[in-house]
Amino acid sequence: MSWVTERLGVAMRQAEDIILRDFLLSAVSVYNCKGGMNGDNPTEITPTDCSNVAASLDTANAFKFLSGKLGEFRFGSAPVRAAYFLLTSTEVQPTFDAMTVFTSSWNYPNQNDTIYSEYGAVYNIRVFTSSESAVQRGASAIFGADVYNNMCVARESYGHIEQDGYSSQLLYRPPIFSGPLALNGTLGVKFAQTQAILQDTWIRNVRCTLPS
Amino acid sequence: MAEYSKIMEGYFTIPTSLTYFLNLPALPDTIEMWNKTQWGNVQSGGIAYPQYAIGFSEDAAGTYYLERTNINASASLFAFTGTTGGFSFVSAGTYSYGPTLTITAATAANPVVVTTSGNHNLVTGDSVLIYGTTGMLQISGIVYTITRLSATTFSINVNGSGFAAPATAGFAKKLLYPDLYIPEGTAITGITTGVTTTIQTALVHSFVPGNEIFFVIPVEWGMRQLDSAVVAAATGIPQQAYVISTTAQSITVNVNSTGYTAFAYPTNATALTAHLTPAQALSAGDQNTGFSGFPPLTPPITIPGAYTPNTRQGVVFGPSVLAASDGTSGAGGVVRWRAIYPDLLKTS
Repeated sequence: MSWVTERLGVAMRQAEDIILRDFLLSAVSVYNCKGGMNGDNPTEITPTDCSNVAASLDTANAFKFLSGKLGEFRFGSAPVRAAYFLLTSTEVQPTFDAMTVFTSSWNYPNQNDTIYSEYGAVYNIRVFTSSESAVQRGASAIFGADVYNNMCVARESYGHIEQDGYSSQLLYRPPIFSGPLALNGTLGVKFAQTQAILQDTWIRNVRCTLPS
Repeated sequence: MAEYSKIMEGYFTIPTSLTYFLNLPALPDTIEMWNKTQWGNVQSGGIAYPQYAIGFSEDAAGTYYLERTNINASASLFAFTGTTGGFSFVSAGTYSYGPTLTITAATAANPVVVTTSGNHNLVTGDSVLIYGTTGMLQISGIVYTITRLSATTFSINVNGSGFAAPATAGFAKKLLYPDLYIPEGTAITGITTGVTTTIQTALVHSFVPGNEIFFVIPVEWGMRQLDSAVVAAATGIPQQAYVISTTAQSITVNVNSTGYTAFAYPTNATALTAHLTPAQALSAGDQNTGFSGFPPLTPPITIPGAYTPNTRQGVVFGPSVLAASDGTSGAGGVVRWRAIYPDLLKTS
């Protein structure tokens, strides 16, 4: 049963992520990237845009998600600044690869607090990518290119609120109830929660296109 | 991270509207349906009923592949396809748009009147993205609630009388399912200063009196005193503005803006070089849940200043797969459906 519960857990977390993504899309202020050279609005994301957004969060006295990593004596690695999170699309990964100031997560001094979806860091922003990130196809202001909605968040800028005093409930109907051969069990989960933006000036929807 | 296939099944009764939104915990790539009520029935009175239909996520919204009983009283099935009124896969993360419309003109007047090259098929209240404009760059990249004037013209809630030039070309497309994004942040198209402050919005907003609200006013738009970050830096506390009253596309808030710098649209040149971020009005309060209606209604607020967010994902069944061949019959039938998200969807 362990693989079943693992699968169920993944499905539940994916559902939570989708709900949260949709909520942030509806409620977060927009910043259009403007440091790029593709002539569109927004432009492709650039180090300047990352710096601008981090500065605006700093100015709002936001808390960074993670403290920095000190440099270590490992070839090719570099120290990592204390950072906010940028949640973006896997389709934007090449844009970051092309930045000279981008540090891949595999060039961090260590892997102590990196997770599978972390792609790297630019200045005071650590980048996480997902194929489920929100994309507006053909919606840029000038050329009608795809627009990526990247959430740049500070610690405690948003949160989950459990409803009715409970978190998730596991629903299990053993296989014996499916028939005399007991072939199929039923396993499900339900949860009731909402999301809230706890501090509006600590979160930005950083919209960008891809380089020309 | 989509490493597991998902199969979802169920059934529903066809409503009288002959359109049904199937809310799902995962967005499928394939949707199938069987009309159990009409299964195996030959035509009756010249009316034939859908038996089986299938839709695929890679097709345009509304596309379907249908097998229907044959109108000529034959027991054989009639298989055909169409591109409207079938299945539409809906998710907030994948913004859905209608067909691209070509704009031939937008007047520098109050309000701005947009002309399209052909019938736009829009109605008053539709949300429309305008982009790629030439000559009136200020209105580009923003979603507006439109007012239909004729088959080829509509107006948006923007006072363009002071703009340097009209638009001579551009594009527009309807944003489908705008209710996915409630409480949707809206671009600001005008601000009237005074003891209280009135904000004109690009969209028919979902704010109601009592809601807490905040503003983002980039430097190109003038009235920086209303920007939330400027307020927070100046006062040390976040902006705390509350909605006093509303109309469909205006909000009056309890902010004394007497003496503020005027709100002004950037010039064309500034709009181009600054890669504008629009001025925005956004929700700031706590969140309620349970609201799923559209157009926005007064939500059942239980927390002062709170909002009711709204989202969903799934598949829309249209009348082309639910209704009979006469386009009006079919309500009350039972549809069994199966939605599949596969481990692998090869595209080449």
